[in-house]
Amino acid sequence: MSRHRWSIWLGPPVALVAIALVVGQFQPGAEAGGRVTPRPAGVCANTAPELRGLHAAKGTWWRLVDRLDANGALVGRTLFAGKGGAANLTLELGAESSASGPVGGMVVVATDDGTFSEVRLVAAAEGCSWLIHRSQDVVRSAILDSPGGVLLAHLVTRETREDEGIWRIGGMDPDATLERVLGPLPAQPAFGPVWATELRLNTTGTELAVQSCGEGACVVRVVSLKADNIGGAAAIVGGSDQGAIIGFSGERLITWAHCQGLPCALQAWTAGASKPTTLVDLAAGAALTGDGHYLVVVLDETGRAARVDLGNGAAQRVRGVAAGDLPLSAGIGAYAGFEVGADEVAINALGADPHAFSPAEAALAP
Amino acid sequence: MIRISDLYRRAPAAPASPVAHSPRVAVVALGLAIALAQAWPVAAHSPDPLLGTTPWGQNQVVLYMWASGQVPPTWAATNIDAGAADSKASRNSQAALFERSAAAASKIAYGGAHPCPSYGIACMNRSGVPISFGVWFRPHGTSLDWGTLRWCQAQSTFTNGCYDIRRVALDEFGHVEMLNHHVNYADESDYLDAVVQYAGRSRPKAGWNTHVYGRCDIARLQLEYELIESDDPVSTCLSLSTTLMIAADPPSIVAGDTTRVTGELEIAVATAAKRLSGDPLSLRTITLQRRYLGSTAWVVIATMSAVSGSVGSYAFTIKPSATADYRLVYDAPSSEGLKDATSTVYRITVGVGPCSASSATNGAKAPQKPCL
Repeated sequence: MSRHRWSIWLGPPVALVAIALVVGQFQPGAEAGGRVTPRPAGVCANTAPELRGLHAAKGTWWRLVDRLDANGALVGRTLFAGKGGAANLTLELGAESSASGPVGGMVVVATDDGTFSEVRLVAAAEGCSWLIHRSQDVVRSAILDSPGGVLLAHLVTRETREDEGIWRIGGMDPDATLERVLGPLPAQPAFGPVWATELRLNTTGTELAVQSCGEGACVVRVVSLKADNIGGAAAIVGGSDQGAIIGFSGERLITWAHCQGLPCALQAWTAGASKPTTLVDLAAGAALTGDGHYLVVVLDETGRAARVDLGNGAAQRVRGVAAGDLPLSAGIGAYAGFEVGADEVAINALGADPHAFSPAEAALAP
Repeated sequence: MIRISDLYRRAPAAPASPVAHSPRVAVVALGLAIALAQAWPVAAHSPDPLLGTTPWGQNQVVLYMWASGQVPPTWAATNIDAGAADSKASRNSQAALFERSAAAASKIAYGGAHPCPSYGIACMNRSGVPISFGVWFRPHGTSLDWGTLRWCQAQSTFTNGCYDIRRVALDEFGHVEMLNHHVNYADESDYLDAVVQYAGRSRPKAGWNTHVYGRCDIARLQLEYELIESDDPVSTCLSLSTTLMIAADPPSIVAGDTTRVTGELEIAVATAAKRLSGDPLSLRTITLQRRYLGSTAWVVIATMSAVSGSVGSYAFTIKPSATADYRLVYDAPSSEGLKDATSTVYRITVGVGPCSASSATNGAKAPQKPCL
């Protein structure tokens, strides 16, 4: 199934609007949490790099800051991106916007202006971006599938907010036809409306987890991204009490329990199982290393932390997490991203600069 | 499963319980309906589950302040503070009290960085108890898959579909206290028994603007923090056994004298009663009943009076004319989550003449009138 090439029938007027929108995206930004003032950003002069097999660009980062009006209404968000201590770019985004990554120094940004959505690829270190896709539908979020060399986006219809499923964005033509990877979540009255949809890749990029969360539970559909079976039949991974997804660890999915607060339990799910294995009973924060080997668990606000070796289940207390630090989440609601090595996780105190934490190298606590 | 307490008792290098290796996440088509049907277990109606393991101190005053750079707009600030006041006014227990201060360890934020899952409109972190907590509210206008979050109080006229931030604040303070989401009946006929709900309702659904804890919220708070006073009602979401004890002083008299019958009513000692276990119950209606020797009929002869200054104690003075059995009865009203209780049978012996033969009752001998 494909998306329509809407630009064909919308024609020149939209092209003018699009130009105005693009120009309007790049305004000088404010300082990013004490960082040096970033220079005005623009469209990357060069062509986008080959997305397949990007090399890690450790230390690249992004941050989203809400823009509120005088009444406290969200009117937009500002993206700051950079590397190290330098903020190289600011982007003014719509109120409905999200960011993911960085992967290989690339941040994927989805933003909607109330009429159209855009997906942009931001080179954090270079401080510029490419427009990758435009849509009449609302792009809720998008991630970079580096092994596949494409972006994967979740769309909902503009008027009705119905789930449109997950779509594959390849190439650099903003108006290119999209390829559907997974259809919408079938309506389930007992599930209620879907509040959030999360996307996670496994470490090899051969499987995509699409998690739909209602107020009372979440369910994951795992779909194949293998070249010869893209969008292959989805496995359902869910059941009672599933909360926000953290990611893949080999053949399992690691999620939170369905809490709306912390501390909360951490769970491991397998396909077809209606109940998870509880990994940790109460945690204040958690993240997986990119290789899925370790689950880093912050237990409370004092910096008590542990690493769980998901290969053998061994849990050990570790040092090196400061009071107030929590692992960064990678979901649609994430407000910051920080690229780390495959054996690391990114942690920070809320709103502060993230840094890498290596559970394998962390000193053991007595 | 790794329990935090286990982890912190364990030697550093010791492994936790092994995590079972699981089969590969196979890409097999399964019925979505099957998975979703398993998502909502139907549990019996009961007090809210616990959230976390560490309670605040009883009546602990917990100060909070607005997070720097994430200060709520006036309409939100006013209603969040009102939510804190609602928690205090309706806790019906010695749960913690939340008060805003210019400086505090606990922070409440509106917009900006947060640790919340993406499916919530607000969330909290109580892992800092008993020192601190955090609460975050998503800003008015936040986009979700189904549409846009609208806080009612941000609107000049409330529109259907908006969320009452004051009710949501009370929900979050409930979580901070220790309340997990209430487990409703499948038809949600008991929805109003708790404010702390998985799915907070928007206007104009029933409960959308509730500003007091529900009875099953209160039940959990009472279990964890006790009643404020011993005469406070026990939540009807509980069903606790009670214990009623009887005594008389003196237990044996001579005709024409009086004896003071006393009673003690308390919540029965039981693990399930948690902190309420063994707690005295004051100002309840306790009746004194009498059964004459040889009879099987119990007759109510008095309602016991509360003993001033002695919680859970009751007394009544009688002048019996003959030996009889007595007992106390607590007929629990439907307005409380307590079960009926009846004391043991207590015999009060009345000596009937001078130099009468003694009879052993209640371990004491009947008194004799002095022989003249």
